[in-house]
Amino acid sequence: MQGRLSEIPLAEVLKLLGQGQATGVLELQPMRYQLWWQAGKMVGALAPGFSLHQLMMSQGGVSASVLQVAMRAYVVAGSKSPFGVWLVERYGWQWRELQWLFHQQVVRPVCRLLGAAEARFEFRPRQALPLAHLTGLSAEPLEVLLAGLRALRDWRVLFDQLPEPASALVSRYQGRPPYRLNHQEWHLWEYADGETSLASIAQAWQVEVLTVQQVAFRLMSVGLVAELPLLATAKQLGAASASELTGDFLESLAQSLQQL
Amino acid sequence: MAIMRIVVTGPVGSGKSTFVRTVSEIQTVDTDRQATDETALLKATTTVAMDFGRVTFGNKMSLHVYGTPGQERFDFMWEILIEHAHAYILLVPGHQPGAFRTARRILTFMEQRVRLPYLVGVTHLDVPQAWPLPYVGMAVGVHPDLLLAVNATQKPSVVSALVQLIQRCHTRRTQSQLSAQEV
Ligand SMILES: Nc1nc2c(ncn2[C@@H]2O[C@H](COP(=O)(O)OP(=O)(O)OP(=O)(O)O)[C@@H](O)[C@H]2O)c(=O)[nH]1
Ligand SMILES: [Mg+2]
Repeated sequence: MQGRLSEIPLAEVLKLLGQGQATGVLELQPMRYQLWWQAGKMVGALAPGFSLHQLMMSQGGVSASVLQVAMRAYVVAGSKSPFGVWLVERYGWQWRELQWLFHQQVVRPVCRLLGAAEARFEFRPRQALPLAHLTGLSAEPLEVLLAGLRALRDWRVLFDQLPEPASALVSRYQGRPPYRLNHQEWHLWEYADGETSLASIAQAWQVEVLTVQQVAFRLMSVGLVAELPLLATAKQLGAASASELTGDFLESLAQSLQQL
Repeated sequence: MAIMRIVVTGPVGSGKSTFVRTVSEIQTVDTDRQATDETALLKATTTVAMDFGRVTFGNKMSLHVYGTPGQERFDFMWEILIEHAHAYILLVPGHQPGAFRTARRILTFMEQRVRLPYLVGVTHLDVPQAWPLPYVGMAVGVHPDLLLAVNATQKPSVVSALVQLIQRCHTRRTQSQLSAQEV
């Protein structure tokens, strides 16, 4: 899986990796940001300035020598668990501390990258996880996405990816959404009727259409709705009735084609 | 003469014209033109009207295949094509992630507006940078049962896709007859 973020937004790539239960590494260039995945969840990242070890030293108050000793012991022990888990079990680290580091390592940079101008990406499946750089924690991509897109201020790079003002939304989810939606998201979710255009919703809400497009993009990114282009005429297209073709006809047509 | 009409749709460069040409016994009507504006970045020529191809068996059976124009405009041309179709196939270029969104929009549109049997065929899977088939399917939002790989340049592959689509029509037909009997 590869491409450029100008073709397909990072939000979509993350959603797909989650949906596909992916295990492996997503690499973004030129940032040299590596995001590690296990069974559809984000489990860690490696990037200049963002490795677990660097964060432990720069933000976790761990000195280089202590880290070195711990690392050596970890390697010698031949542990099969992530470094973070090992620190908790052997050194009495608190999960709270690791959670904070994980947030710095994964959640924050991913949120920032959602608005990245341009990057090449490539996903390499079935890579061995870099256990020494993992905390043992994981994040649900759709939850990170929702939070990241809510916090996103500069939408310029996503402009071409937003649903069109003339489009409506259709629901893609049965029942109650599994995420805590905010007021606007709920409101728009109720408008996913396949008929009301984003432009007319904006008018009803008395907000700019861009605002509605952004909320719609968030709901699309987490798979709750899909964009439905509207025809100028909203009439249901009456299709030729399939019964006009008999079962015998379909069978012999298929047979004849196979002999071509 | 009984005629079955199948529409081939999909984003620019997904292989619609090639698909129609590959299966047709007649010289297909060529409405490809020098591509302008954005499309030109992707390919040199694009279909501006529609493609038409035909396969006839004896004097009682014929398959007509129509390709929609590349640029995504749901205009009267679409209405005419869809109104008379028995089934459709959506082609998606598996090596162009930038086209997945358009494919998804077309599929949402079709599912919402017509109840026709359909399949989604992913093309260009032989190109090195192509995405794995299941991921293209997820990106387009199609059920895995309706997803297949197609090489529009190869006759056996195109024929196989058409046969599967016809079999789907047959199954759908049988199912609707059964449910009609139950009522
Ligand atoms: N390698 C490869 N090439 C393919 C495949 N399918 C189609 N092509 C090529 O893709 C190119 C584009 O195909 P077209 O048939 O012009 O695509 P189209 O969908 O009609 O394009 P528009 O009319 O512009 O929308 C042609 O050069 C085809 O030969 C495939 O499965 N593999
Ligand atoms: Mg064409």
